[in-house]
Amino acid sequence: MDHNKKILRRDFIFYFLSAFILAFLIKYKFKEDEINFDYELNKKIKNYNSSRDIKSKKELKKAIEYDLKNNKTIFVGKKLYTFAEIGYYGLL
Amino acid sequence: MTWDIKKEVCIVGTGFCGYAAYKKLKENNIKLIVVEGGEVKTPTNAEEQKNYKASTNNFISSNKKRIKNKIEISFRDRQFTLGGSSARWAGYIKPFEKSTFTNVFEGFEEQVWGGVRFDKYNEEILNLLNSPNLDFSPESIAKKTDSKLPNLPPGLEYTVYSWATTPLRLKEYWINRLKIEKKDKKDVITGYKLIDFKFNNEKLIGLKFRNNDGQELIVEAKYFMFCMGGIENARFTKKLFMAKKKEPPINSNLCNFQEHPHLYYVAGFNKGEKLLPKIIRNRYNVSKLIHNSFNNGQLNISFKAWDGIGTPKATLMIQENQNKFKNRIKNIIKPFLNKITIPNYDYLIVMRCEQSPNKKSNLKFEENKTSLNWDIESKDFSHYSDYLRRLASFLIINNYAKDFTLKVNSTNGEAIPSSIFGGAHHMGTVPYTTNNILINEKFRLTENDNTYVVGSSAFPTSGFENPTLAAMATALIAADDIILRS
Repeated sequence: MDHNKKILRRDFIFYFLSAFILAFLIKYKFKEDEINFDYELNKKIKNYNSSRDIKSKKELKKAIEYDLKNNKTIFVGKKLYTFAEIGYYGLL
Repeated sequence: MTWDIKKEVCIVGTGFCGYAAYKKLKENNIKLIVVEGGEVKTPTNAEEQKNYKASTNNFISSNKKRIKNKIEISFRDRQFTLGGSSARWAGYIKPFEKSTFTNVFEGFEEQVWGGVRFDKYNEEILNLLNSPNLDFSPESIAKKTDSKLPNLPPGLEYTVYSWATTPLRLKEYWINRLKIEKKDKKDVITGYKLIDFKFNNEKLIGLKFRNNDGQELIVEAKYFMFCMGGIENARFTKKLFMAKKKEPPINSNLCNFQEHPHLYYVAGFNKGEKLLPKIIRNRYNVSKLIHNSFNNGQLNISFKAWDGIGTPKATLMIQENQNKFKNRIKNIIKPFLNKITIPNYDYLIVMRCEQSPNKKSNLKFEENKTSLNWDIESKDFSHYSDYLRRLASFLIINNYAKDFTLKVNSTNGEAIPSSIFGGAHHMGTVPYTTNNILINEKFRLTENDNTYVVGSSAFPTSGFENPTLAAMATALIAADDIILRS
Protein backbone atom coordinates (compact mmCIF):
# COMPACT_ATOMS: atom_id res chain seq x y z
CA MET A 1 0.00 0.00 0.00
CA ASP A 2 1.39 3.36 -1.00
CA HIS A 3 1.26 5.50 2.14
CA ASN A 4 2.25 8.59 0.22
CA LYS A 5 -0.79 8.45 -2.01
CA LYS A 6 -3.28 11.21 -1.14
CA ILE A 7 -6.99 10.49 -0.89
CA LEU A 8 -8.90 11.89 -3.84
CA ARG A 9 -11.56 14.53 -3.20
CA ARG A 10 -14.09 12.32 -4.97
CA ASP A 11 -13.28 9.40 -2.65
CA PHE A 12 -13.42 11.65 0.39
CA ILE A 13 -16.91 12.85 -0.55
CA PHE A 14 -18.00 9.26 -1.21
CA TYR A 15 -16.74 7.99 2.20
CA PHE A 16 -18.11 11.01 4.01
CA LEU A 17 -21.56 10.66 2.52
CA SER A 18 -21.60 6.89 3.05
CA ALA A 19 -20.75 7.36 6.72
CA PHE A 20 -23.42 10.04 7.03
CA ILE A 21 -26.14 7.87 5.45
CA LEU A 22 -25.08 4.88 7.57
CA ALA A 23 -25.29 6.97 10.76
CA PHE A 24 -28.68 8.25 9.68
CA LEU A 25 -30.02 4.73 9.10
CA ILE A 26 -28.55 3.42 12.37
CA LYS A 27 -30.17 6.31 14.22
CA TYR A 28 -33.59 5.42 12.82
CA LYS A 29 -33.06 1.70 13.36
CA PHE A 30 -32.23 2.04 17.05
CA LYS A 31 -34.53 4.89 17.87
CA GLU A 32 -37.40 2.40 18.13
CA ASP A 33 -35.77 0.50 20.95
CA GLU A 34 -35.07 3.41 23.31
CA ILE A 35 -36.26 2.82 26.85
CA ASN A 36 -36.73 5.98 28.83
CA PHE A 37 -38.87 5.23 31.87
CA ASP A 38 -38.83 7.66 34.76
CA TYR A 39 -37.86 6.65 38.29
CA GLU A 40 -41.44 6.14 39.53
CA LEU A 41 -42.41 3.86 36.69
CA ASN A 42 -39.17 1.92 37.02
CA LYS A 43 -39.87 1.41 40.71
CA LYS A 44 -43.48 0.37 40.05
CA ILE A 45 -42.47 -2.35 37.59
CA LYS A 46 -39.59 -3.60 39.78
CA ASN A 47 -41.82 -3.76 42.85
CA TYR A 48 -44.47 -5.69 40.96
CA ASN A 49 -41.96 -8.15 39.57
CA SER A 50 -40.18 -8.61 42.92
CA SER A 51 -43.23 -10.48 44.22
CA ARG A 52 -42.71 -13.35 41.75
CA ASP A 53 -39.82 -15.39 40.48
CA ILE A 54 -40.01 -16.44 36.84
CA LYS A 55 -37.50 -19.20 36.17
CA SER A 56 -38.67 -21.00 33.05
CA LYS A 57 -40.25 -20.12 29.72
CA LYS A 58 -43.39 -21.95 30.83
CA GLU A 59 -43.68 -19.73 33.91
CA LEU A 60 -43.05 -16.69 31.74
CA LYS A 61 -45.90 -17.65 29.40
CA LYS A 62 -48.27 -17.90 32.36
CA ALA A 63 -47.05 -14.61 33.83
CA ILE A 64 -47.51 -12.85 30.45
CA GLU A 65 -51.06 -14.14 30.24
CA TYR A 66 -51.78 -12.96 33.78
CA ASP A 67 -50.31 -9.51 33.09
CA LEU A 68 -52.28 -9.09 29.86
CA LYS A 69 -55.49 -9.92 31.70
CA ASN A 70 -54.70 -7.60 34.60
CA ASN A 71 -53.54 -4.55 32.67
CA LYS A 72 -49.91 -4.92 33.79
CA THR A 73 -48.51 -3.80 30.48
CA ILE A 74 -46.46 -0.95 29.15
CA PHE A 75 -45.38 0.43 25.80
CA VAL A 76 -41.68 0.21 25.01
CA GLY A 77 -40.72 1.84 21.74
CA LYS A 78 -43.60 0.86 19.49
CA LYS A 79 -44.38 -2.48 21.14
CA LEU A 80 -46.54 -3.60 24.05
CA TYR A 81 -44.66 -5.43 26.79
CA THR A 82 -45.94 -7.10 29.93
CA PHE A 83 -44.22 -6.39 33.24
CA ALA A 84 -43.22 -10.08 33.22
CA GLU A 85 -41.34 -9.72 29.91
CA ILE A 86 -39.60 -6.57 31.12
CA GLY A 87 -38.38 -8.37 34.24
CA TYR A 88 -37.47 -11.63 32.49
CA TYR A 89 -35.52 -10.04 29.63
CA GLY A 90 -33.96 -7.39 31.90
CA LEU A 91 -35.22 -4.49 29.81
CA LEU A 92 -34.92 -1.98 32.66
CA MET B 1 -81.69 50.48 1.95
CA THR B 2 -82.80 48.46 4.96
CA TRP B 3 -85.09 45.47 4.76
CA ASP B 4 -87.31 44.97 7.85
CA ILE B 5 -88.94 41.70 8.80
CA LYS B 6 -91.19 40.96 11.76
CA LYS B 7 -91.70 37.36 12.85
CA GLU B 8 -92.29 35.42 16.02
CA VAL B 9 -88.97 33.57 15.92
CA CYS B 10 -85.65 34.34 14.24
CA ILE B 11 -83.21 31.43 13.82
CA VAL B 12 -79.63 32.35 12.93
CA GLY B 13 -77.81 29.60 11.05
CA THR B 14 -78.82 26.77 8.72
CA GLY B 15 -76.73 23.93 10.14
CA PHE B 16 -78.27 20.89 11.81
CA CYS B 17 -79.55 22.86 14.80
CA GLY B 18 -81.15 25.54 12.64
CA TYR B 19 -82.69 22.80 10.52
CA ALA B 20 -84.07 20.85 13.53
CA ALA B 21 -85.56 23.96 15.17
CA TYR B 22 -86.99 25.16 11.84
CA LYS B 23 -88.75 21.85 11.17
CA LYS B 24 -90.19 21.63 14.66
CA LEU B 25 -91.43 25.23 14.84
CA LYS B 26 -92.89 25.05 11.31
CA GLU B 27 -94.84 21.93 12.24
CA ASN B 28 -96.35 23.94 15.11
CA ASN B 29 -97.31 26.83 12.80
CA ILE B 30 -94.92 29.32 14.42
CA LYS B 31 -94.11 32.22 12.12
CA LEU B 32 -90.38 32.27 11.73
CA ILE B 33 -87.43 33.29 9.63
CA VAL B 34 -84.06 31.57 9.23
CA VAL B 35 -81.12 33.80 8.34
CA GLU B 36 -77.87 32.29 7.04
CA GLY B 37 -74.62 34.29 6.81
CA GLY B 38 -73.17 32.18 4.00
CA GLU B 39 -74.16 32.13 0.37
CA VAL B 40 -75.76 29.30 -1.58
CA LYS B 41 -72.44 28.72 -3.34
CA THR B 42 -69.94 26.97 -1.10
CA PRO B 43 -66.63 28.87 -1.05
CA THR B 44 -63.93 27.02 -2.95
CA ASN B 45 -60.93 28.92 -1.60
CA ALA B 46 -59.97 31.02 1.39
CA GLU B 47 -60.25 34.28 -0.58
CA GLU B 48 -63.95 33.69 -1.04
CA GLN B 49 -64.36 33.58 2.72
CA LYS B 50 -62.63 36.79 3.66
CA ASN B 51 -64.74 37.43 6.70
CA TYR B 52 -63.36 34.42 8.47
CA LYS B 53 -59.72 34.39 9.51
CA ALA B 54 -58.58 32.12 12.28
CA SER B 55 -55.32 30.95 13.73
CA THR B 56 -54.19 28.36 16.28
CA ASN B 57 -51.23 27.73 18.51
CA ASN B 58 -48.75 25.34 16.90
CA PHE B 59 -48.26 22.94 19.76
CA ILE B 60 -50.41 21.42 22.45
CA SER B 61 -48.73 21.32 25.81
CA SER B 62 -47.93 17.99 27.33
CA ASN B 63 -45.37 17.54 30.07
CA LYS B 64 -44.12 14.43 28.34
CA LYS B 65 -43.89 15.48 24.73
CA ARG B 66 -44.54 18.38 22.37
CA ILE B 67 -47.58 17.48 20.31
CA LYS B 68 -48.26 19.20 17.05
CA ASN B 69 -51.64 20.90 17.01
CA LYS B 70 -53.61 20.12 13.88
CA ILE B 71 -56.92 21.62 14.84
CA GLU B 72 -59.23 21.89 11.87
CA ILE B 73 -60.41 25.45 11.97
CA SER B 74 -59.39 25.64 8.44
CA PHE B 75 -61.30 26.83 5.52
CA ARG B 76 -62.50 23.27 4.84
CA ASP B 77 -64.40 22.85 8.07
CA ARG B 78 -65.61 26.30 8.98
CA GLN B 79 -67.37 27.31 5.85
CA PHE B 80 -69.92 30.06 5.81
CA THR B 81 -72.36 28.46 3.47
CA LEU B 82 -75.99 27.45 3.24
CA GLY B 83 -76.35 24.33 5.40
CA GLY B 84 -73.30 25.30 7.47
CA SER B 85 -70.17 23.24 7.78
CA SER B 86 -72.30 20.08 7.71
CA ALA B 87 -73.86 20.90 4.34
CA ARG B 88 -72.33 17.78 2.83
CA TRP B 89 -72.91 15.57 5.84
CA ALA B 90 -72.45 11.91 5.03
CA GLY B 91 -74.93 10.31 7.38
CA TYR B 92 -72.61 9.25 10.18
CA ILE B 93 -74.49 8.61 13.42
CA LYS B 94 -73.44 7.96 16.97
CA PRO B 95 -76.26 7.36 19.42
CA PHE B 96 -76.86 8.88 22.84
CA GLU B 97 -75.16 6.88 25.53
CA LYS B 98 -75.25 6.94 29.30
CA SER B 99 -71.78 8.45 29.32
CA THR B 100 -73.06 11.47 27.38
CA PHE B 101 -74.81 12.72 30.51
CA THR B 102 -72.76 11.48 33.42
CA ASN B 103 -69.25 12.88 33.16
CA VAL B 104 -68.03 15.09 36.00
CA PHE B 105 -64.59 16.66 35.92
CA GLU B 106 -62.56 18.04 38.80
CA GLY B 107 -62.82 21.84 38.89
CA PHE B 108 -65.90 21.77 36.65
CA GLU B 109 -68.42 20.28 39.10
CA GLU B 110 -71.30 22.49 37.91
CA GLN B 111 -70.41 22.15 34.25
CA VAL B 112 -72.41 18.91 33.82
CA TRP B 113 -75.65 17.91 32.12
CA GLY B 114 -77.46 17.66 35.47
CA GLY B 115 -81.12 16.84 34.79
CA VAL B 116 -81.00 17.52 31.03
CA ARG B 117 -81.89 14.39 29.04
CA PHE B 118 -82.03 13.94 25.27
CA ASP B 119 -83.23 10.35 25.00
CA LYS B 120 -86.83 11.25 24.22
CA TYR B 121 -85.70 13.07 21.04
CA ASN B 122 -83.89 10.01 19.71
CA GLU B 123 -86.53 8.86 17.23
CA GLU B 124 -87.43 12.40 16.14
CA ILE B 125 -83.79 13.22 15.34
CA LEU B 126 -83.09 9.98 13.50
CA ASN B 127 -86.13 10.65 11.32
CA LEU B 128 -84.96 14.23 10.69
CA LEU B 129 -81.62 12.77 9.56
CA ASN B 130 -83.17 10.14 7.26
CA SER B 131 -81.57 7.48 9.41
CA PRO B 132 -84.35 5.46 10.94
CA ASN B 133 -82.15 2.87 12.57
CA LEU B 134 -83.75 2.89 15.97
CA ASP B 135 -82.04 0.02 17.73
CA PHE B 136 -78.45 0.91 18.53
CA SER B 137 -77.77 -1.73 21.16
CA PRO B 138 -74.55 -3.62 20.19
CA GLU B 139 -75.94 -6.91 21.50
CA SER B 140 -79.08 -6.61 19.39
CA ILE B 141 -77.14 -5.58 16.26
CA ALA B 142 -74.73 -8.50 16.79
CA LYS B 143 -77.62 -10.94 17.14
CA LYS B 144 -79.27 -9.72 13.96
CA THR B 145 -76.02 -10.05 12.00
CA ASP B 146 -75.19 -13.49 13.43
CA SER B 147 -72.08 -12.15 15.13
CA LYS B 148 -70.88 -13.28 18.52
CA LEU B 149 -69.21 -10.49 20.44
CA PRO B 150 -66.31 -11.63 22.65
CA ASN B 151 -66.38 -10.56 26.30
CA LEU B 152 -64.43 -7.39 26.98
CA PRO B 153 -62.20 -6.51 29.96
CA PRO B 154 -63.31 -3.81 32.46
CA GLY B 155 -63.22 -0.30 30.99
CA LEU B 156 -64.03 -1.40 27.44
CA GLU B 157 -67.55 -1.68 26.01
CA TYR B 158 -69.01 -2.11 22.56
CA THR B 159 -70.58 0.83 20.78
CA VAL B 160 -72.40 1.13 17.45
CA TYR B 161 -71.83 3.49 14.53
CA SER B 162 -74.29 3.83 11.70
CA TRP B 163 -74.19 5.23 8.18
CA ALA B 164 -77.57 6.05 6.66
CA THR B 165 -78.67 4.85 3.25
CA THR B 166 -79.79 8.16 1.85
CA PRO B 167 -78.10 10.76 4.05
CA LEU B 168 -79.71 14.11 4.44
CA ARG B 169 -78.02 16.77 2.32
CA LEU B 170 -78.80 19.97 4.16
CA LYS B 171 -77.83 22.29 1.35
CA GLU B 172 -80.25 20.62 -1.04
CA TYR B 173 -82.99 20.84 1.57
CA TRP B 174 -82.50 24.60 2.02
CA ILE B 175 -82.19 25.27 -1.72
CA ASN B 176 -85.64 23.75 -2.14
CA ARG B 177 -86.94 26.03 0.61
CA LEU B 178 -85.35 29.05 -1.11
CA LYS B 179 -87.30 28.35 -4.29
CA ILE B 180 -90.43 29.71 -2.64
CA GLU B 181 -90.95 32.95 -4.55
CA LYS B 182 -93.73 34.70 -2.62
CA LYS B 183 -92.18 37.26 -0.30
CA ASP B 184 -94.72 36.82 2.48
CA LYS B 185 -94.11 33.05 2.54
CA LYS B 186 -90.32 33.31 2.41
CA ASP B 187 -88.82 31.87 5.56
CA VAL B 188 -85.15 31.39 4.61
CA ILE B 189 -82.72 34.17 3.73
CA THR B 190 -79.12 33.53 2.80
CA GLY B 191 -76.05 35.76 2.47
CA TYR B 192 -76.81 38.05 5.44
CA LYS B 193 -74.36 37.97 8.34
CA LEU B 194 -75.31 38.91 11.87
CA ILE B 195 -73.63 42.19 12.83
CA ASP B 196 -75.52 43.85 15.67
CA PHE B 197 -78.49 43.92 18.04
CA LYS B 198 -81.53 46.10 18.54
CA PHE B 199 -82.72 46.71 22.12
CA ASN B 200 -85.74 48.26 23.76
CA ASN B 201 -85.06 49.06 27.44
CA GLU B 202 -82.31 46.40 27.56
CA LYS B 203 -84.65 43.83 26.03
CA LEU B 204 -83.43 42.32 22.77
CA ILE B 205 -86.07 43.01 20.14
CA GLY B 206 -84.17 42.64 16.90
CA LEU B 207 -81.09 41.42 15.09
CA LYS B 208 -79.24 43.38 12.46
CA PHE B 209 -77.70 41.60 9.46
CA ARG B 210 -75.69 42.83 6.46
CA ASN B 211 -74.89 41.18 3.13
CA ASN B 212 -71.70 41.54 1.06
CA ASP B 213 -73.24 44.42 -0.95
CA GLY B 214 -73.80 46.42 2.24
CA GLN B 215 -77.57 45.95 2.31
CA GLU B 216 -78.97 45.67 5.79
CA LEU B 217 -81.70 43.45 7.17
CA ILE B 218 -83.35 43.96 10.54
CA VAL B 219 -85.39 41.08 11.93
CA GLU B 220 -87.66 41.90 14.85
CA ALA B 221 -88.95 38.90 16.75
CA LYS B 222 -90.18 37.68 20.11
CA TYR B 223 -87.58 34.91 20.31
CA PHE B 224 -84.11 34.45 18.85
CA MET B 225 -82.13 31.27 18.43
CA PHE B 226 -78.36 31.25 17.82
CA CYS B 227 -77.48 28.15 15.78
CA MET B 228 -74.18 29.37 14.42
CA GLY B 229 -71.74 26.79 15.74
CA GLY B 230 -69.16 26.88 18.52
CA ILE B 231 -67.19 29.93 17.48
CA GLU B 232 -69.88 32.32 16.24
CA ASN B 233 -72.32 31.49 19.06
CA ALA B 234 -69.62 32.48 21.57
CA ARG B 235 -68.68 35.61 19.59
CA PHE B 236 -72.24 36.93 19.57
CA THR B 237 -73.06 35.88 23.14
CA LYS B 238 -70.02 37.88 24.26
CA LYS B 239 -71.01 40.74 21.98
CA LEU B 240 -74.48 40.73 23.50
CA PHE B 241 -72.99 41.39 26.93
CA MET B 242 -70.75 44.12 25.50
CA ALA B 243 -73.70 45.75 23.72
CA LYS B 244 -75.38 46.08 27.11
CA LYS B 245 -72.10 47.37 28.57
CA LYS B 246 -71.83 44.35 30.85
CA GLU B 247 -69.11 41.80 31.50
CA PRO B 248 -69.86 38.09 31.11
CA PRO B 249 -70.23 36.52 34.58
CA ILE B 250 -66.98 35.44 36.23
CA ASN B 251 -66.50 31.64 36.11
CA SER B 252 -69.06 31.30 33.33
CA ASN B 253 -66.32 29.79 31.12
CA LEU B 254 -67.73 31.70 28.15
CA CYS B 255 -65.29 31.27 25.22
CA ASN B 256 -63.49 28.26 26.71
CA PHE B 257 -63.69 25.28 24.41
CA GLN B 258 -63.16 21.54 24.14
CA GLU B 259 -62.28 19.69 20.97
CA HIS B 260 -62.71 16.15 19.78
CA PRO B 261 -59.10 15.00 19.77
CA HIS B 262 -58.60 12.71 16.78
CA LEU B 263 -55.49 10.60 17.15
CA TYR B 264 -56.34 8.77 13.93
CA TYR B 265 -54.13 5.76 13.14
CA VAL B 266 -52.48 5.10 16.45
CA ALA B 267 -51.45 1.48 15.90
CA GLY B 268 -51.65 -1.51 13.61
CA PHE B 269 -51.64 -5.29 13.94
CA ASN B 270 -51.66 -8.42 11.83
CA LYS B 271 -54.28 -11.15 11.85
CA GLY B 272 -53.96 -13.54 14.71
CA GLU B 273 -55.08 -17.16 14.86
CA LYS B 274 -58.68 -16.06 15.33
CA LEU B 275 -60.64 -13.48 13.36
CA LEU B 276 -62.64 -10.74 15.03
CA PRO B 277 -66.32 -10.68 13.96
CA LYS B 278 -66.74 -8.91 10.62
CA ILE B 279 -68.95 -6.23 12.15
CA ILE B 280 -66.00 -5.15 14.33
CA ARG B 281 -63.34 -5.35 11.61
CA ASN B 282 -65.09 -3.09 9.17
CA ARG B 283 -68.34 -1.50 8.13
CA TYR B 284 -71.00 -4.12 7.69
CA ASN B 285 -73.61 -3.78 4.97
CA VAL B 286 -77.02 -4.28 6.42
CA SER B 287 -80.42 -4.61 4.91
CA LYS B 288 -83.95 -4.89 6.16
CA LEU B 289 -82.57 -7.37 8.67
CA ILE B 290 -81.87 -4.45 11.00
CA HIS B 291 -84.90 -2.31 10.36
CA ASN B 292 -87.69 -2.36 7.76
CA SER B 293 -86.75 1.03 6.38
CA PHE B 294 -82.99 0.51 6.61
CA ASN B 295 -82.03 -0.55 3.15
CA ASN B 296 -78.39 -1.19 2.33
CA GLY B 297 -77.10 1.03 5.11
CA GLN B 298 -73.92 0.30 7.01
CA LEU B 299 -73.07 -0.45 10.63
CA ASN B 300 -69.93 -0.95 12.60
CA ILE B 301 -69.33 -2.03 16.16
CA SER B 302 -66.37 -0.34 17.79
CA PHE B 303 -64.84 -0.21 21.25
CA LYS B 304 -65.75 2.49 23.74
CA ALA B 305 -63.27 3.11 26.54
CA TRP B 306 -64.34 4.80 29.73
CA ASP B 307 -63.37 4.47 33.35
CA GLY B 308 -66.53 6.04 34.71
CA ILE B 309 -67.23 9.50 36.02
CA GLY B 310 -64.40 11.96 35.73
CA THR B 311 -62.28 10.57 32.92
CA PRO B 312 -62.39 11.46 29.27
CA LYS B 313 -63.68 8.77 26.95
CA ALA B 314 -62.46 7.38 23.67
CA THR B 315 -63.59 5.18 20.82
CA LEU B 316 -61.25 2.76 19.15
CA MET B 317 -62.28 1.60 15.71
CA ILE B 318 -60.61 -1.27 13.86
CA GLN B 319 -60.24 -0.81 10.12
CA GLU B 320 -58.86 -3.10 7.46
CA ASN B 321 -55.71 -1.68 5.91
CA GLN B 322 -56.79 -1.13 2.31
CA ASN B 323 -53.51 0.39 1.16
CA LYS B 324 -50.99 -2.10 2.44
CA PHE B 325 -48.83 -2.16 -0.70
CA LYS B 326 -49.04 1.61 -1.27
CA ASN B 327 -48.14 2.25 2.36
CA ARG B 328 -45.13 -0.05 2.14
CA ILE B 329 -43.68 2.08 -0.67
CA LYS B 330 -44.47 5.29 1.21
CA ASN B 331 -42.84 3.95 4.36
CA ILE B 332 -39.51 3.40 2.56
CA ILE B 333 -39.38 7.07 1.60
CA LYS B 334 -40.92 8.71 4.67
CA PRO B 335 -38.01 8.39 7.16
CA PHE B 336 -35.77 10.30 4.71
CA LEU B 337 -38.32 13.12 4.62
CA ASN B 338 -38.46 13.11 8.42
CA LYS B 339 -42.05 11.94 8.20
CA ILE B 340 -43.68 9.28 10.35
CA THR B 341 -44.32 5.94 8.74
CA ILE B 342 -47.83 4.47 8.60
CA PRO B 343 -48.30 1.23 10.54
CA ASN B 344 -48.46 -1.22 7.65
CA TYR B 345 -50.40 -4.09 9.08
CA ASP B 346 -53.56 -6.03 8.23
CA TYR B 347 -55.60 -3.80 10.53
CA LEU B 348 -55.27 -0.23 11.77
CA ILE B 349 -56.69 1.21 14.99
CA VAL B 350 -58.35 4.61 14.68
CA MET B 351 -58.82 6.49 17.93
CA ARG B 352 -61.08 9.44 18.67
CA CYS B 353 -61.42 10.91 22.11
CA GLU B 354 -63.10 13.30 24.51
CA GLN B 355 -61.08 15.91 26.33
CA SER B 356 -61.46 17.21 29.88
CA PRO B 357 -62.74 20.79 30.14
CA ASN B 358 -59.74 23.09 30.30
CA LYS B 359 -59.63 26.77 31.22
CA LYS B 360 -56.45 27.26 29.21
CA SER B 361 -58.24 26.24 26.04
CA ASN B 362 -60.01 29.34 24.79
CA LEU B 363 -61.18 31.54 21.95
CA LYS B 364 -59.87 35.06 21.48
CA PHE B 365 -61.75 37.45 19.25
CA GLU B 366 -59.91 40.25 17.50
CA GLU B 367 -61.32 42.59 14.90
CA ASN B 368 -60.32 40.60 11.83
CA LYS B 369 -59.12 37.39 13.32
CA THR B 370 -60.20 34.67 15.74
CA SER B 371 -57.53 32.78 17.63
CA LEU B 372 -58.10 29.31 18.99
CA ASN B 373 -55.68 28.43 21.72
CA TRP B 374 -56.28 24.71 22.07
CA ASP B 375 -54.90 22.97 25.12
CA ILE B 376 -55.46 19.51 26.59
CA GLU B 377 -54.71 18.18 30.05
CA SER B 378 -51.60 16.05 29.97
CA LYS B 379 -53.36 13.37 32.01
CA ASP B 380 -55.91 12.95 29.21
CA PHE B 381 -53.14 11.39 27.13
CA SER B 382 -52.39 8.94 29.95
CA HIS B 383 -56.02 7.81 29.80
CA TYR B 384 -55.90 7.45 26.01
CA SER B 385 -52.71 5.40 26.29
CA ASP B 386 -54.25 3.22 28.99
CA TYR B 387 -57.32 2.53 26.83
CA LEU B 388 -55.06 1.51 23.94
CA ARG B 389 -53.09 -0.86 26.19
CA ARG B 390 -56.31 -2.50 27.35
CA LEU B 391 -57.49 -3.03 23.79
CA ALA B 392 -54.09 -4.33 22.70
CA SER B 393 -54.00 -6.77 25.65
CA PHE B 394 -57.52 -7.97 24.81
CA LEU B 395 -56.60 -8.55 21.15
CA ILE B 396 -53.33 -10.32 21.96
CA ILE B 397 -54.60 -12.60 24.71
CA ASN B 398 -57.56 -13.74 22.60
CA ASN B 399 -55.29 -14.42 19.61
CA TYR B 400 -57.01 -11.81 17.48
CA ALA B 401 -53.76 -9.94 16.89
CA LYS B 402 -50.05 -10.43 16.45
CA ASP B 403 -47.29 -7.87 15.80
CA PHE B 404 -49.21 -5.09 17.58
CA THR B 405 -47.24 -1.91 16.81
CA LEU B 406 -47.74 1.77 17.63
CA LYS B 407 -47.52 4.41 14.93
CA VAL B 408 -44.93 6.45 16.84
CA ASN B 409 -42.52 5.61 19.65
CA SER B 410 -43.96 5.66 23.14
CA THR B 411 -42.75 8.10 25.79
CA ASN B 412 -42.14 6.91 29.33
CA GLY B 413 -44.26 3.82 28.70
CA GLU B 414 -47.19 5.72 27.23
CA ALA B 415 -48.50 5.93 23.68
CA ILE B 416 -48.48 9.67 23.00
CA PRO B 417 -49.08 10.90 19.46
CA SER B 418 -46.70 13.29 17.75
CA SER B 419 -49.58 15.29 16.31
CA ILE B 420 -53.22 15.55 17.17
CA PHE B 421 -56.14 16.62 15.04
CA GLY B 422 -59.08 18.61 16.31
CA GLY B 423 -62.40 17.33 15.09
CA ALA B 424 -63.56 20.82 14.04
CA HIS B 425 -66.10 20.66 16.83
CA HIS B 426 -65.27 23.57 19.11
CA MET B 427 -67.64 22.63 21.90
CA GLY B 428 -68.66 24.14 25.22
CA THR B 429 -67.95 27.73 24.19
CA VAL B 430 -71.21 28.91 25.81
CA PRO B 431 -71.55 26.04 28.28
CA TYR B 432 -74.67 25.02 30.12
CA THR B 433 -74.02 24.78 33.86
CA THR B 434 -76.38 23.56 36.58
CA ASN B 435 -76.17 26.99 38.28
CA ASN B 436 -77.52 28.54 35.02
CA ILE B 437 -74.83 31.19 35.09
CA LEU B 438 -74.96 31.65 31.29
CA ILE B 439 -77.79 29.50 29.96
CA ASN B 440 -80.47 27.41 31.61
CA GLU B 441 -81.66 23.85 30.92
CA LYS B 442 -83.82 25.13 28.05
CA PHE B 443 -80.70 26.77 26.56
CA ARG B 444 -82.13 30.24 27.24
CA LEU B 445 -79.56 32.94 27.94
CA THR B 446 -79.88 34.08 31.57
CA GLU B 447 -79.01 37.63 30.52
CA ASN B 448 -81.55 37.66 27.66
CA ASP B 449 -84.57 35.52 28.42
CA ASN B 450 -85.82 35.53 24.84
CA THR B 451 -82.55 34.34 23.31
CA TYR B 452 -81.54 30.69 22.97
CA VAL B 453 -77.99 29.48 22.33
CA VAL B 454 -78.05 25.91 21.02
CA GLY B 455 -75.77 23.33 19.50
CA SER B 456 -72.48 21.86 20.62
CA SER B 457 -71.52 25.32 21.94
CA ALA B 458 -73.90 24.65 24.84
CA PHE B 459 -72.33 21.30 25.83
CA PRO B 460 -70.95 21.34 29.40
CA THR B 461 -68.69 18.39 28.58
CA SER B 462 -67.98 17.38 25.05
CA GLY B 463 -68.64 13.66 25.18
CA PHE B 464 -67.09 11.71 22.40
CA GLU B 465 -68.11 11.69 18.85
CA ASN B 466 -70.43 12.08 17.11
CA PRO B 467 -72.14 15.20 18.57
CA THR B 468 -74.78 15.63 15.84
CA LEU B 469 -77.62 14.01 17.76
CA ALA B 470 -76.90 15.82 21.03
CA ALA B 471 -76.49 19.17 19.22
CA MET B 472 -79.82 18.72 17.44
CA ALA B 473 -81.48 17.74 20.72
CA THR B 474 -80.51 21.11 22.26
CA ALA B 475 -82.27 22.86 19.35
CA LEU B 476 -85.38 20.70 19.83
CA ILE B 477 -85.47 21.44 23.58
CA ALA B 478 -85.29 25.17 22.82
CA ALA B 479 -87.96 24.85 20.11
CA ASP B 480 -90.25 23.00 22.54
CA ASP B 481 -89.74 25.80 25.06
CA ILE B 482 -90.69 28.43 22.46
CA ILE B 483 -93.81 26.45 21.54
CA LEU B 484 -94.80 26.35 25.21
CA ARG B 485 -94.24 30.10 25.62
CA SER B 486 -96.02 31.09 22.40
